[in-house]
Amino acid sequence: MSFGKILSVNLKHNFLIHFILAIAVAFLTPVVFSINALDSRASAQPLEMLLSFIGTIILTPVFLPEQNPEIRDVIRSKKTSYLTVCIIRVIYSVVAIMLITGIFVLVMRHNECDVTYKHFIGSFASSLFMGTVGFTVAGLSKSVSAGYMASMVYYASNIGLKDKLGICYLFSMYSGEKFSDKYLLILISFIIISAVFVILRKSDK
Amino acid sequence: MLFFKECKKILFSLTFIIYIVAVVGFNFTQFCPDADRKIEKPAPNLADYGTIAKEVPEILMPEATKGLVKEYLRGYYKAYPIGFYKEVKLSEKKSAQIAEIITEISGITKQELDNFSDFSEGAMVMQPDGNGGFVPVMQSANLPEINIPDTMTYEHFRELMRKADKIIGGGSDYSDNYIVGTFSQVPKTYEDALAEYNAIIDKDKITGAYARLFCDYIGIIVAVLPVFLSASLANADKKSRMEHLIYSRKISSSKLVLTRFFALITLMFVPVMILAFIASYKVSGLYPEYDTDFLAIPKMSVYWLLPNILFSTALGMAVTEMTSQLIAVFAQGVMWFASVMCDIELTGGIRQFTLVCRHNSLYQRDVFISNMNNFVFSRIFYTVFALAIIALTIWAYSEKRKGGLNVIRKNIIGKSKT
Repeated sequence: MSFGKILSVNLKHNFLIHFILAIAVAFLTPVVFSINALDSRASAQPLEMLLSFIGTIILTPVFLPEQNPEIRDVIRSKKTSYLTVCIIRVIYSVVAIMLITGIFVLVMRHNECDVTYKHFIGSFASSLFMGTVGFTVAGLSKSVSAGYMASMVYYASNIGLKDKLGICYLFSMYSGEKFSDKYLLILISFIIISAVFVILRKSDK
Repeated sequence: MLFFKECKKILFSLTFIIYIVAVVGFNFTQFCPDADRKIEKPAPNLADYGTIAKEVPEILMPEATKGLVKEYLRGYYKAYPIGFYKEVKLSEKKSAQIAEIITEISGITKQELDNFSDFSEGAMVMQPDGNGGFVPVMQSANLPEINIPDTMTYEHFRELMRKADKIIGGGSDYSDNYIVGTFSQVPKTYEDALAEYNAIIDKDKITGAYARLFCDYIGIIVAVLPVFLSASLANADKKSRMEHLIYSRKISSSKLVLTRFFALITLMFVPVMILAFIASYKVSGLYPEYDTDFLAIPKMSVYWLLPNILFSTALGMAVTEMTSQLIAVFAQGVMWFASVMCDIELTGGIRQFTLVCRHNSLYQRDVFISNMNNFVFSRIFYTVFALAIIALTIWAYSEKRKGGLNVIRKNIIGKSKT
């Protein structure tokens, strides 16, 4: 099956409902937090505290379609590698997170918030890491529920443990921690995602 | 026996292990450090003992007027008409009625209000506390100068506030329930602080104060995690393609759903109770010289946390049976987030429909007691609501067995795969 065909089939059947829920979170964010005329630090609040959930919603269910072992076995019998399909899903999921985050930051800018590219990167980093936690647990445990749950526990631990989480602290931009941590968070996310694929590949053999 | 079979299934599930790790982790990282601190008797002649709500007309009248002017100028009014937060936008006619009340109190006319161009709302903002956490800081609003003439009596003022509350639709800061707590905060005196300390010793038997803090921390996590376990269990039959086999069995839908429900509740509440007893033992050990109530923390856990577990579990089961696991998690997640994040008051913000009750302090007993009616209402409400949802789940499960609900489900959500 060609790359384009895999992409279109997955976007249509496996991605749409999660994408719609992520959009719903983006629409909910201005209901919960103000996004009008905020200064730089206040602008980080809606981005880090609520919009970051889009990562969980979009990235965690990458392995969902094959959660049923029978379907997984059928998929594995196909010519295209199962993990290649999952990598394609990760790529479009990351692009979707960037897209929603980018549009949201632009809307904030339009509403006279003091946002820059750093808000985009910081928000993307938080979303990506939230998603990475869910993705990792879902991938290794073969249970998407556990993935969602782990991501939620990680979020709740940010409320309690705060900066004790170090570079993994989700709300670092809002609390004024050093921004370079966000780049590290993105790097760590991609390393973890890659590690999950390596582990899954080894366990598949 | 089915109950033990379901328990075994839950006990060895990954979601239950994550639940245990989260609850135990929250207890040790959040509650335990605070539980190591003793409640100290207040020393005389300190500069600050905090604040307390007292009905002082000289403070209440100007503050409530400022509040009303601020809300008039920003164009919406904060209210809890049926217990849930609502931003009320008034019609031109009703807005003019509010302006009339402001004019009667302060002499500021509607025209002056409408022409005031330097308005800034001010707000409670979370500022970093330097330790990676946040502290709420009040930024003051920029309002027209408000002078209340001496001829305005307190009784008439309160009448006008009731009238404003009625125009807004009830449940606003100007209602009898909230006006004193919102607009009449006064500095605590040494005597107030001592009285609070004595109440903690005599009425709370010390452990009562720790019980509120324990439930505050554990409540954050048990108000949301049960949905994952219940949704996962409800989805398990579907996932293993056993649902049709189970549908054909003799067992009644009510017995099956209730057995699963009580198995989930039992397994999720037992760890909470174990932690509550450990906390009681630890706190009692801190105060060997006092007569503490060893059962205060476990009892408070039943009143405070059990309704949260019941509700979250019931919602997870019902929504998963009727739609999908993903929607169940999403719905509970939204409710949890709204409750935890939208209520900035970590102590004393309990309303009638508050899902996650907060009291993040060993002190401020009076604030909790003043909200006792709301607390009791909310706990009963979520318990009854949970039981109603479970009744709905039994019906839905029964319909699915007959094949009825599947048709509706497919039409509504199509091919949801969770």
